[in-house]
Amino acid sequence: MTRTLEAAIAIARVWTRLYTSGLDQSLRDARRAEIESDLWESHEDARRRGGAATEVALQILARLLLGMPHDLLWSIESRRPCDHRPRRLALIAGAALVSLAVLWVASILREGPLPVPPHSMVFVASPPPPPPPTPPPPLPSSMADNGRDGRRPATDPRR
Amino acid sequence: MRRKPGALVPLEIAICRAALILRRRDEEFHGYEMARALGAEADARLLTAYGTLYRALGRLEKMGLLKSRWEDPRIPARESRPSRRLYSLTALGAEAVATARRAADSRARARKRLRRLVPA
Repeated sequence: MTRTLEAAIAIARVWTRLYTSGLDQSLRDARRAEIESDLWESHEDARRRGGAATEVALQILARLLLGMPHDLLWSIESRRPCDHRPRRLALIAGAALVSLAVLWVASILREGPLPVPPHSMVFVASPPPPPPPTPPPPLPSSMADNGRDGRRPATDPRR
Repeated sequence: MRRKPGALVPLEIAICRAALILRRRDEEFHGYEMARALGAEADARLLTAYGTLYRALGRLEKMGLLKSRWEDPRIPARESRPSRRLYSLTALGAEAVATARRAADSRARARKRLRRLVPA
């Protein structure tokens, strides 16, 4: 027996223990023995036919997963055979979960790609602009008079 | 959706039909054997899920269409294997198969008539 097959059988046993726990002893033992027998038969059948252990493991896991809702319903029914409330509650809870999952997936599909975060403000800031040039110093009052500084005054050349 | 009391779903009809074949051979069957029989009939590689199969078998037994017994514990002890729960079809189960077959036949006839009236 390969590790994969051992793991699949162990998972099936654990799941069967889980959903049968808390049930009436005769019911619980009967279901556990029935699953145990089925697991053994499937393994033995594959061995006789020369089937691959991995294939048997996958078959066991698929049968387990697909039967889980029925296992749960059976477990609920077996706890209170005359009361339909738990079953109804389980159905409502299941329907609510499925609806939420559908809404969530729809919202993801509608949103499209995620928006780009405003990175330019935080990490990739451009260098600050250079400071404005300093204004020229004011001319001294003596140099401000016309002609005295040796420069030509701003007068009309015809005069 | 709640089904009518006493009404059979397709899986239950298939189980009863397979059990009827085994009954004619005076054979009982266990869960895995039934899963294989159903898989062969539907030509499916994947066998009926554990939960689906055993819940259906339990329901059929409760309805009186199947009966079950645990085999003599000396046999599995001798063969070093887990004990089998053996099922067999009751007379009521055989009647249910016949009823389901009649219903399927009448549906097929109705479809045929409809096809004749409404040409494609």
